[in-house]
Amino acid sequence: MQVTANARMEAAPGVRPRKRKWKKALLPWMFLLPALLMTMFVVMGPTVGTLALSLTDWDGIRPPHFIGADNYKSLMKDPNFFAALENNFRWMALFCTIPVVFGLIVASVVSKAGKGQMFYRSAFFLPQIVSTVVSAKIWAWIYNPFFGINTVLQQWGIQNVPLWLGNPKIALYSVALVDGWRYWGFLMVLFLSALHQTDRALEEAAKVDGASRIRIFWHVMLPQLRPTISLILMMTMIWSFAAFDYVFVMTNGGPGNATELIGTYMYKQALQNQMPGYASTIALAMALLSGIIMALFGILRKRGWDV
Amino acid sequence: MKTRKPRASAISHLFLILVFLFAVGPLLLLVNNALKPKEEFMTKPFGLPSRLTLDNLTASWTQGHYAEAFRNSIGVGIATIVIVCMLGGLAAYSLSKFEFRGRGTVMAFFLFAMSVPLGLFLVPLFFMWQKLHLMDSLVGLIIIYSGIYLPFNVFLLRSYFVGIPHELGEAAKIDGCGELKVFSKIILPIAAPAFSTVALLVGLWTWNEFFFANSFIQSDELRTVSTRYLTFVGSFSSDWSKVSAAGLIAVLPMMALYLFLQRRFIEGMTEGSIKG
Repeated sequence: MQVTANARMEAAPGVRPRKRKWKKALLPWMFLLPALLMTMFVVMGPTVGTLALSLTDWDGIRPPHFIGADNYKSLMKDPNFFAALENNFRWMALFCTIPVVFGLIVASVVSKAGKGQMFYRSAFFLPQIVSTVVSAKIWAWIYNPFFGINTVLQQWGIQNVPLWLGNPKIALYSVALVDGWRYWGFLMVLFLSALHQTDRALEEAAKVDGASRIRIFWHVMLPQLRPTISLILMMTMIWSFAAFDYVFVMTNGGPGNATELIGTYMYKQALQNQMPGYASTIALAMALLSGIIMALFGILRKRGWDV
Repeated sequence: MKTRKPRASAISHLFLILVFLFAVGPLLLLVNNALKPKEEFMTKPFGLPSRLTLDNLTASWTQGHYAEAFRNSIGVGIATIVIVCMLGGLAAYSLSKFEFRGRGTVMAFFLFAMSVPLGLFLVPLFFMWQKLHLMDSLVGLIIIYSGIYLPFNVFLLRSYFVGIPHELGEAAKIDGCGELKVFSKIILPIAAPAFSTVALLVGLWTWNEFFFANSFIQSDELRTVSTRYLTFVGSFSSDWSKVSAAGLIAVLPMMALYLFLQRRFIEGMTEGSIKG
């Protein structure tokens, strides 16, 4: 038992020391208990439940039977799962590049914009505030072949306008654009505050030495932003496996399974196909992938990569 | 630090205006469609209206049963805010002011709970809620929201509490205050800004949340704003004027809040994600 400075200070006379000590030890837990119970009840308990369920053939109605690793074996042979996983990797490749680069470029322009900075920051962050269901619907309207953006494109004389959400080859990218539209502003704000913390003197010195703008950005600014960039990459990668919202609202995995992600596939197996046992296995596979990413970053950091 | 007057060239301003149109344009389209007379929607979908009308808004408000949905959303929001502030505040106080064995484990517990994707606990939660008769009830929804938003806000509050000097509480204790009284009479008033950030974020999240509200609530009269919008879209899918108006109604309250409290929104959402 650790005795802290204030514990000694507070040892008032008249109370038996043993009882006081107990009270002292329990006090922090009394404050923690309600929050711990709530989190356990809603998040952690059910998470453990998922682990157990993945070993059963539960259909949601009849009592579950223990079937060992059977679900895991079927998962390894499930072409739909791997199709969804491939889409998640596409999603990850898209989101680790385009919104990150775009957010960084815009942030560096905004950081030089003087008085307008705050205005632009608020405006670019705005999509983050809009509810997913509404912004998904706005974009579904923009993508609509009969009165959306395609009517304008046709007026401009562009033939063969694509069916943004109907063509299986591009539907995933159309939805990703919407999610990216929401996401990049968040990254922009992170980059902007990181840029404000960079060393201005270094930049000035490079300028005095006659370095070009691009060279200053590449050799002076970018190295200082490395911690922010690697944090963003880790966040984005982990989050790519959990992506769900926009696909769920806009295409629900379709057309066919062109936009199916692990998240939507799991949801369908759990609540539509009455296979919660199997769905739990899918969820664990998803968590495992996120865990691998986290471990990878942890290892790199231990090796002194400064990520 | 030297403050240099930044020279913004015309090109970078042009660039920022284009980016602005990309970021805000879709929302301007929403406003445009909602306020445009219905008959003009088909003839010039992207054009400005010849006159502004509130007909779409009033029709969507009544046909979407938004009055009821607003009551539900506000009720769920306030209840969740109160629970998160109370339980989160107590937990954060404990984690910032006491040194005890197991503190690191508790922090790791909350950190883990914060980063668990919802897919990982959805299935058992769903069937648990059926067993406990919490399905299709706003109380059930409030409990879910409190549970999933608590961990993040414990960290947010803790990072604020850590900065409050220890001596303030100690002085009160010498005057005979108990730990709970120190918390409520001294820490709470000082930490009011942190609690208002929590209230703002939790309010925003509960308002916009649709996944749990959609899967765990079936009765129409219990729907929150975002799921009311979803059902509205389902039944009026061809009437884009009304759908746009319904969308505008759904986002307007948060837009108005954001207009006045941008800084608090932005800092709460980004700083939390970095520190966590």
